[in-house]
Amino acid sequence: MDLSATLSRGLLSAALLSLLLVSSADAGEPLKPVGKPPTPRFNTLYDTDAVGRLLEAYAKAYPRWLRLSTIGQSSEGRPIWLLTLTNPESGPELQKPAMYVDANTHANEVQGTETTLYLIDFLLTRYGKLERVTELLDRAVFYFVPVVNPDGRSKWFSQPATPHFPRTVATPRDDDRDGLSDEDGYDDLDGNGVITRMRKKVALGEGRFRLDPKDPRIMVRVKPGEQGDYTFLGWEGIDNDGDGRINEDPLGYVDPNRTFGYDFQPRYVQGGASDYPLQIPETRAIAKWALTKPNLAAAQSFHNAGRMILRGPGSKHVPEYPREDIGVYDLISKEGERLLPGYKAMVIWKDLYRAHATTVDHLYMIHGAITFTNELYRAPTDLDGDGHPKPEERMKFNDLLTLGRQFVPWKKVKHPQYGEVEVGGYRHDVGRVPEGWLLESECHRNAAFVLFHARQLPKLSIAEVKVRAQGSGLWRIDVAVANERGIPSVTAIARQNKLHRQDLALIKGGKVVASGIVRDLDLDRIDLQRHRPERLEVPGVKGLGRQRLFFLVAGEGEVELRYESLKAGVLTRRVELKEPESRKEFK
Amino acid sequence: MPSARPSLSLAIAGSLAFLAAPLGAQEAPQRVRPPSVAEATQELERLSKAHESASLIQFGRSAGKVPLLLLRIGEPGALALDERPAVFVGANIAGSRPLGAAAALDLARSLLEAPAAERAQRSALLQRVCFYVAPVLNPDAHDANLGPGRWGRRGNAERVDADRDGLLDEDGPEDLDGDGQITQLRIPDPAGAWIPDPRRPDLSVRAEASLGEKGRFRLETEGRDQDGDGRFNEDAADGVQPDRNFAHAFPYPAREAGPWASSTPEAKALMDFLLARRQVALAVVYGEANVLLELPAAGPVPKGQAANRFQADDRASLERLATRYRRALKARELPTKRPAQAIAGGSLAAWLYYHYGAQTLELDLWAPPGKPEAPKSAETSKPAKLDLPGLRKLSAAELLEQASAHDALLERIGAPDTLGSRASAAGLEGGQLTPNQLADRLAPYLAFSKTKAGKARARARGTADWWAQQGVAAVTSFRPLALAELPGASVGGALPLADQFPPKAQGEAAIAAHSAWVLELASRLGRVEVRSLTLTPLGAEVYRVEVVVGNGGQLATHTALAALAKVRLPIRIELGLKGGVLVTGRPWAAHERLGGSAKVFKHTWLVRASAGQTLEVEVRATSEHAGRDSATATSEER
Repeated sequence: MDLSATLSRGLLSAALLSLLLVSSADAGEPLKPVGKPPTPRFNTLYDTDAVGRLLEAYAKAYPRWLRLSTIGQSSEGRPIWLLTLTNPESGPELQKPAMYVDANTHANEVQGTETTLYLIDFLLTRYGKLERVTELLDRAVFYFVPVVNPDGRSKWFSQPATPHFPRTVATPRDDDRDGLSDEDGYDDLDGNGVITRMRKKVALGEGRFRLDPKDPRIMVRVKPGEQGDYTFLGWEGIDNDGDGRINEDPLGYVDPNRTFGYDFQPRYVQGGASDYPLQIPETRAIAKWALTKPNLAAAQSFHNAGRMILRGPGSKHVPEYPREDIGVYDLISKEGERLLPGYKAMVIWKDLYRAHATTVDHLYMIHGAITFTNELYRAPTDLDGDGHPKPEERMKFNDLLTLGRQFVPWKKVKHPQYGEVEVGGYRHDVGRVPEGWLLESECHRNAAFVLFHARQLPKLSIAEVKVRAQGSGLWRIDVAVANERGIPSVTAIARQNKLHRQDLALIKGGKVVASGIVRDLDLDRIDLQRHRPERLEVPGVKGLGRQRLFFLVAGEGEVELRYESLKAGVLTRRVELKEPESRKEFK
Repeated sequence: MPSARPSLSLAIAGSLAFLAAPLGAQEAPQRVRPPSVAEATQELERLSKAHESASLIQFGRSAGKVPLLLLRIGEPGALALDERPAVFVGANIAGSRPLGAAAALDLARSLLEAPAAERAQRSALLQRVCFYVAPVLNPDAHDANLGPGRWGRRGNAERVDADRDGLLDEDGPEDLDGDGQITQLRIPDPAGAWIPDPRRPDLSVRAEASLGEKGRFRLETEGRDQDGDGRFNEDAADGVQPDRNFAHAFPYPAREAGPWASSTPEAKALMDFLLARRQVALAVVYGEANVLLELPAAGPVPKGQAANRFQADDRASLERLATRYRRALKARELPTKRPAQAIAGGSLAAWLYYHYGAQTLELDLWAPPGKPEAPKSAETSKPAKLDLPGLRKLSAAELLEQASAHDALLERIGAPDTLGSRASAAGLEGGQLTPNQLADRLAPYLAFSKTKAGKARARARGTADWWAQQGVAAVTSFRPLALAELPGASVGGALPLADQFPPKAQGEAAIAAHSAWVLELASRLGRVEVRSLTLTPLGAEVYRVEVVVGNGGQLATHTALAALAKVRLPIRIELGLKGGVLVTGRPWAAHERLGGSAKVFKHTWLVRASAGQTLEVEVRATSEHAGRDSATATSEER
């Protein structure tokens, strides 16, 4: 594909479309859905099939604005949905800066999907009503993958699960290295549809726990000098394969968020890694798709839990991000801390844990997109506000606020290996996922954070063009390109590692004798480009900054100035080769 | 780059299926010409049709949609083909090593079409071991490196904007002088870093400050700056290099390596094929590196990443192999003291060892020795060797008499002829130059000849001389180029990839040596064997069952790295009982790894015979990649 030809074709159609747009009565008006659009409630969770029905219904109601497509299939054959949302009449998709949002990479970290649905709904229903929404859909494009791991989501909803399981994709894995895969997972011993914990009363001195005398549902770890008579036996399950171990080879385990393409490490270094990067179809679909979107400039990947706004690097063994880009990350995440009460802006390796080959590092280090992972939700069970949610506070939350919904009371069952045990504990949708009455506000705040993030997508304009005659048909043209938002048109990492083409400033219609980047206008310090002056390579326009360009052009009449940015679209300006009326404009 | 293919008169089936390329020069020696993709495919098809024990498998397609093929070779034996230990031999994933294809096909023929005397032995091997032989793993680049227009392309047919200027594949090498070959381009430039080698002006070297040299030109691959960006040949139509597209030490952010490891269809298809066949114990890559001539270093790695370091035990095993390998090369009069490349980050070989867990040998098959052959005849009398201290002690007259020793000294230390016997004769005779002064001028050359750069110069000269000795014009002299945009430029220098077209005798010897080497390694693969199974009565019908499992081969069952990184399943033993029950414990055990033939592991069980019954015990030992074995014992035998 000849990129420049595509761009110029795109430019032409953009110009035509913008003409149409001016005459269109609908520009900036609220969207009129076809038929009845879905009106989901955001105080509940949707299983994979329900999510699919909602997405189809939205796409059907807003056919030109919201496009539903499939970028791949999970290992069990479920579609990986992609939604593209933008004003179809305000220019070609690839000439708009793009914000990518995905969710539910980990099977059990489900509510990012509802947050994404909320965001889609909000954008579609607020366009033409709220200026900040209208502006974004006119000048930017949103891409959504609401369920990265549809097999995992389905299993978390439909099969006995815990708050932490399944986290994996469905690709089988021989965790215990006995030649069989996924043959010894959890078992729902009491048949109540969820996996809870197992405890057993043992002889005094053989246990490390005792029952809380005030509430025997709670197990208390014995202190030094005390004896215990209860022991935890892990999650509900038996020794299915007769190897003397319990639950040691459950479904999976490839952790999809350890399979990406930057800083991939083998399983010995990084638990949950695949055999090679992007081996699993789910994350490979995203990585391959991302290669087709040179406009990708910002991204969010929703996870849970803990209330964090995370950025990479995931490991201290890879270089820290360039300082200039950290400034951009800080601009967005510090505001995010204010929009999202209780959330902390953190660096993954430094403040959380070591994580190789994650979405955030992949999209930033390979595509140069400013990328966050929000860890949604932290259970508000610290009732006395001392910073330490205690088991009895958690139980009070269960008893008084959820009227006992969360905790499954202990119940005696026969276990083939352990004999009589008790099974009970918190349900799988407790701890990482909010109760319905807390979900909508969390969805809204995080959607608002994405919109603030997207608002920082580079927004370029040609702010200044000054022409000065140099005699004998030679003209000096000084240009200033401005970026009125926070994300640069070329991130520092993209510049440093040559991840993609830089911006280009082109002059057509005259002979460009010299061109360069102006470092200091007053002192006339210009870095001249030695070759191809008519095709000036520009290291981008910084966030909230300006880039000044210099051209020396031989010609007459007018020339066309074009500024092409992969991440920030195309600008054009006709420049008349004549002195302005007053020369006082120039120093 | 269009690949001009020399005309091929016929393919010789059943013997070495490559021909000597006619070079045109008078008495040009016969040289090996590696097979093209089509010829290799034809040969694979022929072998698979001619032999029941060979089947052709297509495991993917290149970026240019060329089928990726390999031959599976094995005869019916005790274990099914996909259960027995396997050897993978893959050639030219690098693209720039087409000679590997000739070697891989030779190996296939050695396995399938051995001379009658060796057939029984080969058959025995093929009943025990399964071979996967892939002659061309990077077909998109392979053919481009066969014709005279070759320039060492490594990338596949993907389209990459290598210089990130928004244009695709717009500036590659070109044959500017119309001689059909891509050599080198000298562009006069006062800021250039290069000069002709002081002794061999057709070679180019970086100007060396300690010798007072000043750069005169910049050196590029033959071709213009087609896109006018000031750089030459920086964005050729050469896509992504599959041999840099693997995940161990992936060379991010190098454009030629691709955006992420596994992005190329060649790398992904091969990994998927091999990961589905974990019984591959030994992998041989005919590529750019030679791990037996340039052993891997155990460099430092971050904490927690010990499995990213070459393991000491594996290195020791390589050292033992290297000794045998050098001996095998020497026996066929092939050079062993030559420079070789180490395994590179992002390469197939690195992935095979570090992530896949196979014992891996990347071998570069052949390279010319770095110096010309010494004359063999005893009659040529060696001139007395002259060194610098010796030179200082001479009088001018004495030095004039030792002209040949004087010039030999120059040759040794790389000094130009302007300091040689002829050039200094007048000065020495007239007294303007003393031997001591001459020695002072030569001293910097002596010092430089001991540095890395000095040795590289000597090696390049030596290699060029060696080729000349063979009658091969591997280096052409520079000729001025009449191109307005490059005034004063000249074209010439070393022809690329000369070492992929070795003189026939050397090339055939190298290929034969490597086929024999792979066969030898395959016959030494580790394999589990139950060495003993004993029942010891402890009274009251209780027995101790003791099994000793050992390695029946000479190589380890798998590498220390594979064991550390747990990328291979452990050796597993399972107990079967008839007429008895296990008193305690589990009827299985696992052992991570068995080193060489001396290594064993033991396991004991406590078993109780059922009342009045004979206890029958069977122990089965299985390994993913080292076969399986079993033994039985009964209480009756006691």
